[in-house]
Amino acid sequence: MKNLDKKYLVLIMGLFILSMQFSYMNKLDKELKAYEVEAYTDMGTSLKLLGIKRFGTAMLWIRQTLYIGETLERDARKDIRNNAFEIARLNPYFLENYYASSVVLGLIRTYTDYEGAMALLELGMEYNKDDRYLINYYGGIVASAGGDNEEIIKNFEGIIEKYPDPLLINILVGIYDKKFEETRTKEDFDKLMKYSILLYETGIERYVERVEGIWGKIEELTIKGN
Amino acid sequence: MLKSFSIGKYIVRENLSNKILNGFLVFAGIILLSTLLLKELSIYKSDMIIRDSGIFLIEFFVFLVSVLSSSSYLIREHKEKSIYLVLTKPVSRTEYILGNLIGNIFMLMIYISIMTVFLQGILLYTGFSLNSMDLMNILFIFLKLCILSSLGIFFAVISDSYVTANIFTFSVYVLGHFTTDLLILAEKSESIVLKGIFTIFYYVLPRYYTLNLRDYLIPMDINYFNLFAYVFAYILIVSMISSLIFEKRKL
Repeated sequence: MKNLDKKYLVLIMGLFILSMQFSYMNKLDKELKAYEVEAYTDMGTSLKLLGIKRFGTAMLWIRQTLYIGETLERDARKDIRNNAFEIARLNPYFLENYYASSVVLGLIRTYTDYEGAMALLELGMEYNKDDRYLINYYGGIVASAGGDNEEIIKNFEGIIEKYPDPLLINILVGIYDKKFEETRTKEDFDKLMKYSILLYETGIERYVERVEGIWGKIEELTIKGN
Repeated sequence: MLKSFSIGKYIVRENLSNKILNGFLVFAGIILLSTLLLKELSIYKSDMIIRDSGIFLIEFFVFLVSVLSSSSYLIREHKEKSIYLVLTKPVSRTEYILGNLIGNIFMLMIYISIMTVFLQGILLYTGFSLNSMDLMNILFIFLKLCILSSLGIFFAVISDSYVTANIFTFSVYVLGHFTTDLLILAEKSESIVLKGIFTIFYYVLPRYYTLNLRDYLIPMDINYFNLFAYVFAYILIVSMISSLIFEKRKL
């Protein structure tokens, strides 16, 4: 009987220690949840539920390498895009996925899936706000898409509102400079002025010089009456 | 306590001479070795690929061994009637349960150490090495599996069949990884009964989602003391409940 009492005592002690840890465990649970992407695919959900997000990322990354390797043999654009998003949803902090996949999607001539590359990089920027390379890659994709795609430029302007990075603004100034030269519309002129002022305000010497050059060119056009 | 250690020592010896479990270990070694191929298949971050795959494989194989060992030993002893030999000696049932747990924990320690050394060897061969965070992740794999061993023994106590004990232990391991989702389900559920069931599960099941350090996506500021205390208390409670049930069970 005495032995049984001792066991109950140990049990109560254990329950007491356990209940003391619950508030910390709940807090940690919530913090961990906040770092995850909410929308999972079916496969992502299964991997997450089994507690193998990182292992799943590693395996999907190898699959991505294989898809990229198949580029010379077949059009693997859809697979690369879907797999890149699958990885990004499973582990949004895995930067190499954004770098490599967006370059393959956006810059390989047979693919030129600008929308896919940009959407992937936007997801990356959302979760990795301090990473400079993602912004650079984004700028690179937009510069490569050129000023022909209105949808891309519109998207890009939205990104600049969110991340007013000098490099990105510089790319947009370049695009509108070229567009204004071709179209000479008031709309393009307004946009060019808006972004060149923004770029001028960054105070970065090379950008200031570029803006002054553009403004000088516009002044010349105005004097000539064009 | 000394008697529990003797039982534990016997369990370790028996497990180490068990051909099935050793087969698992050899197979795990071969699979771990195959992670070397993954390095060649990846464009970037080959160290991450080997490390994450290796650490997961350590947990996976030791998990299988742990389920088989912890939830089968007591039932096998009962079926073979060798349990009577031990219990007729001055060994209490609590000591027997504790011995069982100690043996399983030692076995986990041995298996995890061997596989960690093996993984480190592979990483060194490829020019990388395990860092302190990886070792912490492996320590938490050990702690997770210690909880699982205590649960395996618990299910062996309440069940008469290998199959049910193994299935229960396996299910708890899987369910434990989505405890937080159970809470979300409880919050979203409109039925009070379901809400109650999900909430109970959330508190009763082991918090593998939180203890799963190897799956943390970013480095977190963790109070390890709280996690250790949780694991200790959980094992203590499960072992005491197993012991109380075993005490009253007719053999």
